[in-house]
Amino acid sequence: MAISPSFTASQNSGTPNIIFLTDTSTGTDVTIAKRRVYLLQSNGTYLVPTGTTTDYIDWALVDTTISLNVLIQDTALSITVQWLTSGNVEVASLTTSFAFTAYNETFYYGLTESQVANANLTASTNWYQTKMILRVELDSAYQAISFASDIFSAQAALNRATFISTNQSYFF
Amino acid sequence: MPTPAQVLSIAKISEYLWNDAIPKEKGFFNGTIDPRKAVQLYMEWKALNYGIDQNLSSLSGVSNYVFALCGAKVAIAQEILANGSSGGSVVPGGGGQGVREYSKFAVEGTASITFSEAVNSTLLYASRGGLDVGTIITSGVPTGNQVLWTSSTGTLTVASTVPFYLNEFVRILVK
Repeated sequence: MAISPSFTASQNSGTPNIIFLTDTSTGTDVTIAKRRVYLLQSNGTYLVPTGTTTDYIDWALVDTTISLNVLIQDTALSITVQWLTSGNVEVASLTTSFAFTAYNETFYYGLTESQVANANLTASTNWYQTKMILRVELDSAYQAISFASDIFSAQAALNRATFISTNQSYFF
Repeated sequence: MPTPAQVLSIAKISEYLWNDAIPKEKGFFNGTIDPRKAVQLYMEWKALNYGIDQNLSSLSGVSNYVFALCGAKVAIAQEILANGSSGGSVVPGGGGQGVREYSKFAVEGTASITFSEAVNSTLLYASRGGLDVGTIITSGVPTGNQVLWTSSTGTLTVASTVPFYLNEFVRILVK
């Protein structure tokens, strides 16, 4: 049966710098000898781990999951996985866009934890308005990805969200 | 106390209920509900959702907080969550939590009618064509104006001597 390419991406709150990719493809193709990952950013460049000299990252076929330590902030990526022959002829390829938001979502969760400890925080218009803006920016990023695979708009929203979380002392 | 996952569902339903209530309340009573209520619920259940996904610390505290934010809508939201959206309704003016009303039009000549939404409920009241039925029995064969309530299937059975007429309106209250 021919290969039907598929993969998922995830991120954990404790290690927001790491992306986990899992190959969920079905079927087989005996000509496939290698697999590559491209992480395209909204600025048109490829994101790779430190020390990688190519635009792509090799993903060994024996590994169902690969962890990539590449993020320093919330990032929208267009991820392409290629399945290739030994002669680098493409057998299958799949591109999917993602918004990786663990940095700001974890910060956002922390704001709610603060409210649990001190419910009066919501009485501060400035405090709550800023939290609302943060929520809107995160949701905007998700919608840019889910409706249009638009990593440029998603990244713009994530940058605005990151501005809030990295300058939290001014807002909260 | 509901689990965090249950609170998440209850909060989403409550958000809708508050969104529905705020404009009505504003029109009839000059707006005494905090207009931010539904927005606030949305903002906080999003955080709870992330906490559940990531199994974060202090999840129970956040869950309790979101549950409390549901406020006066929590009972109705729990009712909807438990019974789905397939026709259940809370009796206006004090049926109280857990009491639901269902109604249907019967098929002519039949002696039973099933309310799938009322499976495993206790029948409190039934009427046929606007008239109260007689004794509600839960076993045996109904006679006269008696009705048999089979809780496991949500079926109301009338005596075979008085089957339903064409489009007879049948109303029940269960809890």
